[in-house]
Amino acid sequence: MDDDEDFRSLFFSEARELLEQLQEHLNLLAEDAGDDETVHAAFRAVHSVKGGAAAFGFDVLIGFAHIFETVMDRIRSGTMQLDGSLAQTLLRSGDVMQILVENTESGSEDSVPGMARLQAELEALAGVEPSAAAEPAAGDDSPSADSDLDEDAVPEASEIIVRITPDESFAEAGHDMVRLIRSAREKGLSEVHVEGQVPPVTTFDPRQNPLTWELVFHTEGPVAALRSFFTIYEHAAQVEFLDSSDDYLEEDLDASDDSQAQDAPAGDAEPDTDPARGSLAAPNADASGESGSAQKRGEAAKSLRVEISRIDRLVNLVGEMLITQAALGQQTADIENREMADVALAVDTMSRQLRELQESVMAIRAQPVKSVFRRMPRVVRDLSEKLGKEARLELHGEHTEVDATVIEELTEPLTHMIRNAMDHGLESNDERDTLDKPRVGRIRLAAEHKGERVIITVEDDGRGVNRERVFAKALERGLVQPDDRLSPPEIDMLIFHPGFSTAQEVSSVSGRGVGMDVVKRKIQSLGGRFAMTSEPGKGTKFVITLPLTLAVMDGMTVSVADQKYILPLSTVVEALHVTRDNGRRLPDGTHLLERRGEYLKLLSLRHALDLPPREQGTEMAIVVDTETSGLIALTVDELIGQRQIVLKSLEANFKKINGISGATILGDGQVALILDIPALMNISPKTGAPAEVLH
Amino acid sequence: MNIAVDTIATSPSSDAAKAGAVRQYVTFLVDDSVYGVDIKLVREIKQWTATTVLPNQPAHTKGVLNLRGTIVPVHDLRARFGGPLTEPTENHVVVIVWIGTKTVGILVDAVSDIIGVPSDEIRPAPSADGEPGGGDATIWGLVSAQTGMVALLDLNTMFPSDEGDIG
Repeated sequence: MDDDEDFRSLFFSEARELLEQLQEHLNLLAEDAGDDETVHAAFRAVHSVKGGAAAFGFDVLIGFAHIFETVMDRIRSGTMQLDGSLAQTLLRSGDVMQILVENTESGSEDSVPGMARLQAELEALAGVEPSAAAEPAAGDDSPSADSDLDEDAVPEASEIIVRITPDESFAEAGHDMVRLIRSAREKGLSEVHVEGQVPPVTTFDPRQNPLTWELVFHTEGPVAALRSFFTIYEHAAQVEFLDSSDDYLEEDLDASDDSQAQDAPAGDAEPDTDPARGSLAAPNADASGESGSAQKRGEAAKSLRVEISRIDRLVNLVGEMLITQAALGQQTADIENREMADVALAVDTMSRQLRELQESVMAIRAQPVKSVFRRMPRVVRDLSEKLGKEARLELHGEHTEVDATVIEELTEPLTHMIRNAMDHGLESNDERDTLDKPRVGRIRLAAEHKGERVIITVEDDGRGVNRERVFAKALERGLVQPDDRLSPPEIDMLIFHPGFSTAQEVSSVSGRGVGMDVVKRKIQSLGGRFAMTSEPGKGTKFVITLPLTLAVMDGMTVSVADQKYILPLSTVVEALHVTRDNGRRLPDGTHLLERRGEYLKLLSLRHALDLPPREQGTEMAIVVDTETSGLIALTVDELIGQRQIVLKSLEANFKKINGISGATILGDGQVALILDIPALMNISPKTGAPAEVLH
Repeated sequence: MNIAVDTIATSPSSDAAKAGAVRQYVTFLVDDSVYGVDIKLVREIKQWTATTVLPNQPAHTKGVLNLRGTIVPVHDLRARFGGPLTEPTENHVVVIVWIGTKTVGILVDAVSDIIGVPSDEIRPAPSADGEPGGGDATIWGLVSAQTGMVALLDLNTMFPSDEGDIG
């Protein structure tokens, strides 16, 4: 059974990869950039997933894959011409396959939106009568299809005998008798009889299947359910439905047959010793025989699948070692002794090697942003259907590598920005016509490396931010005063204000009550920077800069009320003493700090962190860049110093705390919290007044 | 000073087999009350060490500590039951428990015993017992042990893992 689980998860991970490849091929085809080989590759991907699904008896998935494959086959053989609308249908079918695989994996029985319609479309294309296969998923007869699956439509149990004789292609098609029998059990299989003789090993040809199997079902369900179960085997085996009772095998055979039935799986497994691999790899080979598959095998040998948690442990350990090393380095530096010179040298060398080790370990976890990017075409397709807007998504730099921790966190903000571009950015196709713009809107999603950071751009060629409307809305929300004079970029920044987008207002497309402020905060919590430029009539461009990793960062340690906190070093501008000369208090209680003739807002960390006020002593002010609201100054008790820190999650065992982006462990084993400055500003003084965005 | 609880025998005692399923509970003291938690949920028991304070949390949340590289929150059981905040010393003990997938520390006065309790000897706790905290069922059962009554804690209710963002 464990093996089964292993094979299952192997199937799902391979299916995911195959479907991702499928999407790429289909995208090429949709752009008319593919050739015959692309069609073949797409066909093979569908076929392989179907083969694997068949091995596990995932009926719904098989049914859909089957009809999808039939259509692909017609395109492949040239009986059907691939055009734009067909390509769209195929793309959407690919989406459905992906959802089906996800659902099957999670055991969800949710219906897939749009699947029934697509299946009907595919059936029409394949020239199949929709009802013929009694596909469990077909929308038209879903009530009866449902009953096929679980509840008995025919109350009386009937006996059905199915005789199946595998052809030569049976194993190659990914089928396996053992698995067939296993999944047939759920259909009410009660007996198995085997006929035929297995030749001696010396002359045994694994492709030859010398046995004929008789499966006896006691089922209360309709015969159609069984027929559909066997449909997928029909191209690789002779399947006969026999009447019950009359054709029954002699009883004296039963005893020996039973033992044979038990032995048989072992014998049968021989042509296909590794069922799961066979199920997925074999169809690849059989459908192609091309150079590609051989090459693939070579590549596979050079890479290794490793659970990410194992790598995480390595990354964490290396991070901890760096910290210990830093402490060691500090201590050896303090010892003034000539004889220690060698030690210091060794410590230096170790430090360098550790850094290198860290880079190598981080490189293991680096992933191309492709894994996030390729989800976006689906978002765009869904929305173009919903909004009735055609749009083209261009992806660039998908191979740019970023740490896996960053990748995971990117999906949500990117999806939101793409939705935003589709909904608010791009004009309708007709409107674009009148504006002399290309009819189909364009969204560009790009990634590139720049030094230690990665830059991600989301750009559309739509109408740009409607500044009048934004200003009017901000006015309505009380974020600005009527006589405020804001520069265009300042108006643009208003859309990031937490009070700007609200749940009641947001359209069903771009908002689930989430505004751009959440996107911005998310990016900042990743240690990223966020910028937007917009030109009326030309479009909007978002630029995100992210660190390559979230695992390790440089931080500034400060102390407040005997507790140590970390500020991300990238935000720290400078540190000043707060004195009577440069500190100011306004009548409304706001503190200001004068810095070279400029006044900065002074935010007390004690206050923001709910710590007891300080009784005496001078304070330090750390000037930080909030990215959005310009510079502000934070008061702390003491500045301790700069260090590299390893990020730890608070949420793993607790929950998200406002104003805190995570924690780290200091050299002495104590936990120190990492401050999330933009979030701190928003919760800041408990006066309830919204924090100011504009400055 | 960590005691690995795992090493203490957890196999069900054979003589109790006839009295229904016997489960073992780790009991600990807060003031004069004895509380119990299923031994399978107890990961380890640790001497109190200073925690790092978290901003804007309820008073019973003492902060977080470093448990061999993972960050674990610590709650004061006395304060959670509406009592005064504990002024922890080296003699206080943190019981590290699993709550769902999360690891959480509970600050108590001392760990007292490990008791085996047949399931049919557990009495339901009277409902609406006027507990501070809204009468939520933080105690799911009562057991009479030789040393007195033991209240079995429902950790999920006491420290729900998705406490929301009410800060």
